[in-house]
Amino acid sequence: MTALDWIVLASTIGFIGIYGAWRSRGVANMEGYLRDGSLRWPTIGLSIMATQASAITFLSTPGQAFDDGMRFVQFYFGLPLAMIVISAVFVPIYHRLKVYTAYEYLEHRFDHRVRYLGAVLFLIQRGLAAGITIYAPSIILSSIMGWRLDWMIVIIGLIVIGYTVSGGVRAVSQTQKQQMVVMMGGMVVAAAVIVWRLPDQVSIPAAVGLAGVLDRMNVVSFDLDFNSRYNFWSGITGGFFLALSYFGTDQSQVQRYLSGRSVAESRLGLLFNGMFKVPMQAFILFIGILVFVFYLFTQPPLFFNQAALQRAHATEHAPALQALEARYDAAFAAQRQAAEKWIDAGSDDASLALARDELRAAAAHTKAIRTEAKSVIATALPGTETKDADYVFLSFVLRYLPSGLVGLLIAVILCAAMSSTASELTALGSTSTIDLYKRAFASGAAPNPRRDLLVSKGFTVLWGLVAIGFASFASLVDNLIEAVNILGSIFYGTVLGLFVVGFFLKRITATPVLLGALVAQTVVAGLYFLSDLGFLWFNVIGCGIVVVLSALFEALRNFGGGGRPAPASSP
Amino acid sequence: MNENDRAPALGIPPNEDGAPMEADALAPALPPDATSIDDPPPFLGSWRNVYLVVLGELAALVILFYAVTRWVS
Repeated sequence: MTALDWIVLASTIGFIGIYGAWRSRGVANMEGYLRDGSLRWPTIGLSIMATQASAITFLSTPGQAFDDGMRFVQFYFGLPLAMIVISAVFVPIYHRLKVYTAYEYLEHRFDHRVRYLGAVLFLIQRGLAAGITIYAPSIILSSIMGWRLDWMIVIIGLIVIGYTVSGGVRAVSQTQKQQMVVMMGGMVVAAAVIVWRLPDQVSIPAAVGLAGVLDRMNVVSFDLDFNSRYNFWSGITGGFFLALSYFGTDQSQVQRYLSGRSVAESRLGLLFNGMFKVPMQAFILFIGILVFVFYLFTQPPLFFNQAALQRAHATEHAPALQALEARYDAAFAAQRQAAEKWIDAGSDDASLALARDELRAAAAHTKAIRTEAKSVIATALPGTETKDADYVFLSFVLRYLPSGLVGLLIAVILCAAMSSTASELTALGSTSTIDLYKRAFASGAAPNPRRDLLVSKGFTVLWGLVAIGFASFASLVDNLIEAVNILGSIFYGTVLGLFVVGFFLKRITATPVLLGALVAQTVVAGLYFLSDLGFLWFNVIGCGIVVVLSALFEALRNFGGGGRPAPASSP
Repeated sequence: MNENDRAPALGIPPNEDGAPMEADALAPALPPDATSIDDPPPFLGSWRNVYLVVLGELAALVILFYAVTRWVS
């Protein structure tokens, strides 16, 4: 990075931090700290989007398109539907009950046991996820930039803890608005630079055509194939369930729209997300497509994680890698020639078909060499992740973006990491304070706003330190990102089931739903350990088991004359 | 149907016997400004119209993406 990059990076991050602290000055009570209640819908909408868009979104999504094409966008097709359901059903109930957290609703609807269950499941999975939100960009940035991983984790963590504790939800929401502007602005600039760097004869339609020849423009498929991870049907159903549980019951998102000044503002914020999320993801994926086309004419590295490649070169496997690199040079030259031939073929069908087949064969050959290289690296460096898609975009940024813009794009990644982590910390802090501390230990105590505010801030700091600690420890675990995604899916289904029963099955009481949730959690955990079922299905299965068993247990209870349940505990 | 009309009913908690609470039983839990839940959106007249716009945009995007997929293939 040049001095100009450092200036851009430091001034962008510094400005956002100072702006957030200034806009959130005067937050002096728990109400203002945990639920602002004054936000308008544009701020809410941007805050929701910034919370979901972690650094890995900007690092991985272009790489996903580079590797697998545009089809990942279908994963988001269920999201707008979920936003409508949450706006129509969830939001009015949360506002009516004036809750700080989603899990308070569970006590209003059932009893304190169900509330504790929902809160604890959230704290476990989100507490671990907060560590990953810091760790994921840190490992990639440290690997590519040569920065120390432990310092990166600590610095990102402390900055987020600082402005989150100083201003609470208001600071988080205000900074997220700026962070979203930086994030999207940075990506638009990156897209413009990639287009500018394409060869003169490659127009955008030609780039799309080239990507299509190599199966990267597979945006929508209506084929009903259960083995295909992304198609219209899995997106509209699985994506719907996932978005419903994430946005409807995960406190890190619920807190965003509960900060709206009215139901209308909260609803519009959610619907803003429903309208812009799919285009935003499509745009980020398309940047990956442009990078893919760029690398048809400019030779990419054999392996995008350059640090790992260099380490592999220092082993006894260096001769094998050098031989592969020589073959790769020749294969790339042939591939580039084939791509130019396809461009020159114009509109003549016969020439196009010939050039297309030649290009596909050349691309398959270069891909086979890259796969071989990954195999050698895996042998040379046991335990190293050989999937290098996460490094594609950042590697491009560092090599080909002009000075100053590199700093801006690094700021984009850091902004994304901080915005997600800040939301997670405020949500973890508020759930710990409201659902555990105040409910279990201070429910009978006289109101003490100052003490409550201090406790809230204390929990936020504590969870921040837990996240830093987990992120530091994370490198000891294999396949960590996937592990935490699986962890989230294991819990999300059960939590969503609690809320679905609460909202839609009005005759079911606390004990049946609690038993149903415990059985569901056990079954899902069993499926994880004993089956090969894809983890995304855990969301649907967990929710379904809670709903069905709750209804069954309630019916059995009434049938057996047990219609007089244990008295509900008072809040 | 104005979906605001049905929203409050969905959140009425039952008592522990499973029967929905009577309105009187629910009343104390409601904040004084609960009527704000019935506020219409600042544009398009009703929430149903806003939801239709969101659905329409999703449908338009799916059609557009499908057209691109077909055109390129």
